[in-house]
Amino acid sequence: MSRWLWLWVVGVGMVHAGQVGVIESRCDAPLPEAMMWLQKVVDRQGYQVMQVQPVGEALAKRGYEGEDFKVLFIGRAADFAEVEASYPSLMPFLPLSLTLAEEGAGTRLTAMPPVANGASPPLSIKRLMTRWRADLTRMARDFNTCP
Amino acid sequence: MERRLGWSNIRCKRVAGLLVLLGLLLASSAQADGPVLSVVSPYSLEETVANLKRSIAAGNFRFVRESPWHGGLLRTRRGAAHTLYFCNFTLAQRVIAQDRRFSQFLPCRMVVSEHRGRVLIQAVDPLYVSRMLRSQRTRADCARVRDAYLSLMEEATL
Repeated sequence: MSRWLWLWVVGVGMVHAGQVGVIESRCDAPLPEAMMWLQKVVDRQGYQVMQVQPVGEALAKRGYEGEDFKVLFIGRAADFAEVEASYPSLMPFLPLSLTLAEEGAGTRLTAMPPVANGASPPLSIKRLMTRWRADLTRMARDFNTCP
Repeated sequence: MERRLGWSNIRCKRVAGLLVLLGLLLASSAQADGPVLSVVSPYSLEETVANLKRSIAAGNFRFVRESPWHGGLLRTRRGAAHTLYFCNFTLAQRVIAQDRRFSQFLPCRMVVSEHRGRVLIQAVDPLYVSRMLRSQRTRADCARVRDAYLSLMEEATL
């Protein structure tokens, strides 16, 4: 009986395999200052800021009336090389992105770690995905301590 | 010596077996629709990028920008993957108003790359994201965006 129960647990566990959520955090500074702080946080984690996309502004020009937000694209050269060589299915998820949105007088950060497109990516990719999640979580935590 | 199985033992094993089967079925259905939409192109990488730009222009999207996929972090070489960014602003506004977490995925983007002689167009499936985030309100619009993505990919590879 215990062997069958164990198999059932594994089966259900597979349902949740690769199911990851969004990482969120908040900083009490307004968006421009929060963006500057985030770029320092990103740099400390060893990532390069590749692009800041002012999506909120583009939408506002077309009548969007919600809060302003920007998307920050970040990356590391070694990560791009590894994904391209070992697991091209992750390419649509790179560069990693963090979104900053106005929230009252402060700013909210949102990030979503990449999700594997299949049950068994190579070990090097699994490690990379674990590291991305840990790095984004750390960035979110440090973002929360903005001056 | 003949081993006699009691009713409770047989019943127990059947229930356990059904539970295993159910678990595996649930697992396989969760994995069936992966997070990435992917189409193989019969054209070269450069031709596919050009085709996709034309599809975007002809579709209900505004082209935002194109850049090397690695953003210049890797040494540029021939056949490097490209990312195309584009947007349907009306749809984008509606989805963000329904669930602001989706601002994470703006602007829309597709990656064109070549691996072992095959050119691929790939994009994160917005419907998969909607399901993963359990965002019921965005489901219908994300399904529309997914259909639009597949149309763009198909047009670019005809």
